[in-house]
This record gives sequence, structure tokens and C-alpha cells, in this order.
Amino acid sequence: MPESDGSLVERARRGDADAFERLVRRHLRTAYLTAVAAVAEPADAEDICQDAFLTALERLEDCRQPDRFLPWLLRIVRNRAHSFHRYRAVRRALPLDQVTTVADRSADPARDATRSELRQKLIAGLETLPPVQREVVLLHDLEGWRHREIAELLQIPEGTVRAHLSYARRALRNRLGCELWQESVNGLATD
Amino acid sequence: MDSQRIDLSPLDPMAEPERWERLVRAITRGAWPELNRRAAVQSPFALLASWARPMLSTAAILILLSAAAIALTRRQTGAPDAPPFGIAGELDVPVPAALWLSEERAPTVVELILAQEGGAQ
Repeated sequence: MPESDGSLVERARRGDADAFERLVRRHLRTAYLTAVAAVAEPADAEDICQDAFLTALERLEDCRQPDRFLPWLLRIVRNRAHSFHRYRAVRRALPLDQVTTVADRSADPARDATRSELRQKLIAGLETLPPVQREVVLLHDLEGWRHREIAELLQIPEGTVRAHLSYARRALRNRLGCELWQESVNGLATD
Repeated sequence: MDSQRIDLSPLDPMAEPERWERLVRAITRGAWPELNRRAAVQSPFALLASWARPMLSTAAILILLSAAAIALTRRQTGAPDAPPFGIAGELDVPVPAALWLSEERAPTVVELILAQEGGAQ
């Protein structure tokens, strides 16, 4: 039986590195998807996750229900993402030579070009959705969460989760379907 | 309702295990200073707490061994004046007082005077 979040949090509070790493491995994926839902860009989502986990560690005493570590962590992720939006707005306004660019941390960008292209399309599609719908569709269709779990996390009714999910799917399908169709038309025109 | 799941797997961060591991390592490495600080703050109390139980057990065992050793020594030397009353005897409580304790009664005035004069010994 896996050790509970509560127990891991208690150990991490005492400086147990193994417990902290287990919390990271257990919840990083969900944290990452929440961050992607907020900022869309994977590299930015990674920065936000890193920042959020370190902030969480520094404030572990504020986690009053250690067994509900994940919802608490995701609140931090959303707050960091919100701050990141503001930071990015400022950064975009800086002259180019003063900007520290986010390095492309892909191990091998050419390795999976098709996947990368699909990812960009999905990200572009997600960016057209409201943040709450992005989070719902990512948690449900990628992370495998149930409606009830998402409703509990986001503190909204289960029916609203279903509605968000349905709307997000339809919007993504319309947009991606249209783009893919456009791509194939362009492909035919150039042949 | 649109009930057909969308394939979002290209967004799955774990599809690139090396990159994922780098992110995990970056987070855990970044956490070292804070974890070390926490471990340092915790250590004196944690150490005392972890020692408390074994120390109490050791103390209890030492008391029992000491009492047994004293009793054995007294028996072997055959000390004639060894008081006959268990723990009170081992602790050298005067015989009259040990009697009063074992009988659970208060001494009379006469017994007190006798005890003070050492007549009862």
C-alpha cells in the first residue's frame, strides 16, 4: 500500500528528501497539466512547477490538511501561473537584448517532429479555451480524473464540469479538425 | 453532450522520459537547501525523542540489576544486621519504620521515643 500524502508531508517537514521526491513524482504530472492549462507553453509550465514545488516545500507548515496535499499544491501552481502571466507580459515589453529567453529544453527537437507539431496544434487549440475548460479537459482526457474528482478540486458542481468538458471537446475538435482539414487542402494544392 | 474523449497524449509530459527525469531532478536538487535546513532544525529534538525510550528502558534494567546485585551481596556476606523487609531493608530504612510501613499504621508516642533513642535497633 503506498504511503499516504499525509505521512509524506510530515516526513518532508522534517527534511526527509526521499519523502519530498515521492511527493514530486506522485503529483508533478497533475501539477504540470494544471500549469499547461494556465500558460499553455510546456517550458513555462515546467518553470512554474519547479517554482510551485519549492514554494510548497518552504510553506509546508501552511498545509493544514496534509492528506489533501494535491489541492493545496495546485492552488500554488495556479497562483504561480497567474504571476507568471504578469511577468511574461512585462518580459515581452522589454527590448530584445535585455530579454533572457527561455531556452528550448527539448532533448532532441527533430526526434519527434510529428508529435511536436500535434502538440503545438493542441496548445494553440487549448489557448482559445477559458482556463477552467483547459484544466477540466486536460485532467479528464489526459490525466484520467473523474467528473466528481475534478468538481471537488475546482470546487464547482459536477454538472458544470460535464458542461465545461463537453464545450472544450467540441471547441477543440472544431478548431483542430478545421486546421487539419486546411492543412490537407494546402497539401493537395501544392502537389 | 460531446462524450468522445480527445486524444491529448502529445501533451503528456511523460512521453519524453528523459526530459521528465530532468525536471524531477531539477526540482529535487532545488529543494536540497530547504530540506537540509529543515533537517538541521529538527535534529536536536528528534535525537532526544529517539533516545528517550531506550534510555528509560536501560535505566529500568539497571535499577533491577542493581537491586538484585545488592540483595545477592548481602545474602553472601550474611550480614547479621540486614533488615528483613524487602525494599525498605535494601534502602536501609530503620527496622521500626519498616515495620510501621509494612503494617500500614502510625507509630505510637512510645515507639517514636524508643526509635529515637535507638532502643529498638
